[in-house]
Amino acid sequence: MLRPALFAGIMILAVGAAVAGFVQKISDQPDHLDEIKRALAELKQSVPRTNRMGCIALTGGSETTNKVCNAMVPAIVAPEVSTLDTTLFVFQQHAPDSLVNASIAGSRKLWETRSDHYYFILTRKGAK
Amino acid sequence: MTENTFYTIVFCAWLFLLSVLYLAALWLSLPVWCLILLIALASLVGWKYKPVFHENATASKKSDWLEALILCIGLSVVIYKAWLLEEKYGHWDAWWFWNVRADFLSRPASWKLAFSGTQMGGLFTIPVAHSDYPPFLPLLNALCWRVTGTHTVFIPFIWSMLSFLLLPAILFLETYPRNKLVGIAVLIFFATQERMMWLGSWQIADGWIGLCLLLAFIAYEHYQKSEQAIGLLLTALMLGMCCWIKNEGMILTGVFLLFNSTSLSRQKKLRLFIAGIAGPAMVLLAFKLFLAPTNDVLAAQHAFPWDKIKDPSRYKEIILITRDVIKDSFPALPYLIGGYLLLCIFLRRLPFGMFGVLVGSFILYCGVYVITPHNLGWHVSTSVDRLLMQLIPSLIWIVALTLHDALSGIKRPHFFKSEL
Repeated sequence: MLRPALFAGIMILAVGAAVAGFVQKISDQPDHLDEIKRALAELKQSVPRTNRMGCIALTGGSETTNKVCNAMVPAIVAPEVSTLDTTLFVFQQHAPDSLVNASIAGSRKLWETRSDHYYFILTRKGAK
Repeated sequence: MTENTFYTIVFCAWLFLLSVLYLAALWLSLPVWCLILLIALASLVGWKYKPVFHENATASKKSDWLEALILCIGLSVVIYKAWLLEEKYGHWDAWWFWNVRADFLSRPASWKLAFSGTQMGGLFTIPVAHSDYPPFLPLLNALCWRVTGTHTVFIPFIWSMLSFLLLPAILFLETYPRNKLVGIAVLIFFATQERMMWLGSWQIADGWIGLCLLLAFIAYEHYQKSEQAIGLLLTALMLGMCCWIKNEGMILTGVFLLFNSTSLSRQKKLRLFIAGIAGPAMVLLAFKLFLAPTNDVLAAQHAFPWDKIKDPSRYKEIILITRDVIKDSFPALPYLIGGYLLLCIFLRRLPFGMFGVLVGSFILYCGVYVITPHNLGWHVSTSVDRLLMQLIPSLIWIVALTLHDALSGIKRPHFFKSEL
């Protein structure tokens, strides 16, 4: 039978080895969540946390929407909702102008940014 | 039960205490230095009760270095296989709600938003998904993020890996001293379950619930064998932990109680069980009453779901999808169960008892699918593998114990036969 100290040592070593492998693994991993977090960092600072905003991703569907929700904490982002006053639209980086214009029609563009894979537009309901 | 298993249970109880203290600290708006003080306090409580565990565990005077070497090799294989599948933020379940909730809980100004709820069919769909889930893992992640002052991805990874690596370690350490071959077979079996490796890298709470259930089973076997009160206390404590980790823990505890109702109905035993589960149960009750929103499955039931219950096509769909998931993800599972049933025939045992608890729990899990308001196919196919992950470690342990009994001719009627 193993002595508890030896068992604890083995477990610490095992978790340490797993962490070392993880560091190496994520260093060369394409990371869309990280990209979205960086792209939305500026917006996140300016959004009051009580302000509920909707989010519609026209690229990647619910997966992208949920990543945006994750990136925007502590702001409350309601996924797949465009009926709120403030809505964040997410497109592919080179989305056609016609798609972008049709999506944000009738709304005022408040903020926009681009990242390697995405194009984000924050809109508010009302005349341009 | 070995000394190492006792200490692992104490460690889990310490984590439970930490998570509860952190939740209390959020509620009372305590600063970071108070949190560190609370951690020290929780550690002192654990240290104070150390002699209790020393007295009851099967202590080891000298380490078996071959055992240590085999464990290290086994863990290396598990780590390597999980490593092949790791992603920076875990898998979708992690960044969709486990880590999102932790993120909210690490911010004193907005922690309550982690429980802002789910409104099905309304304007807002899922601001923070599954807000009613007990927040054990998010609280641990949030506490570490807050104390370290960062939101590093390593914290959720370390917690998830720790629970996952403890599974094969405890299974091996509990079986190897009884029978070396069975111990090695258990380790090899676990390390060849590819889906388990993948799920282990997801940064989700299912590894923790699997670990606490396994520890509860081991403690209960210790109690059945030795009649030491501490065994039953720890069983109840670990089942309580399961409840504090995920909602499924309540199903597991309910089924465990049902299958052992005759035995536990004796006054002294019942008192011991209640004493063990009281802490987690009270915390869970307070959480459900004062913080958690209504469960999304229950909230969506506007009337009793007779139509769904009476619809045979739903049962058929659940069975077919589960069969496909088992075929694709856990192909060895039917052989494990088949092997167990053969061993039962050989030992002239009824395959009830603890095995019944696992089967009963899985049937009840499937019962939730029957009434789910979500798309049935989506719900089953995206979650049934994680439910199986919670139960498989305990199943491996039951099969290993039965195999050991068959090899050494041990009779163990109480643990394996249902007393109903």
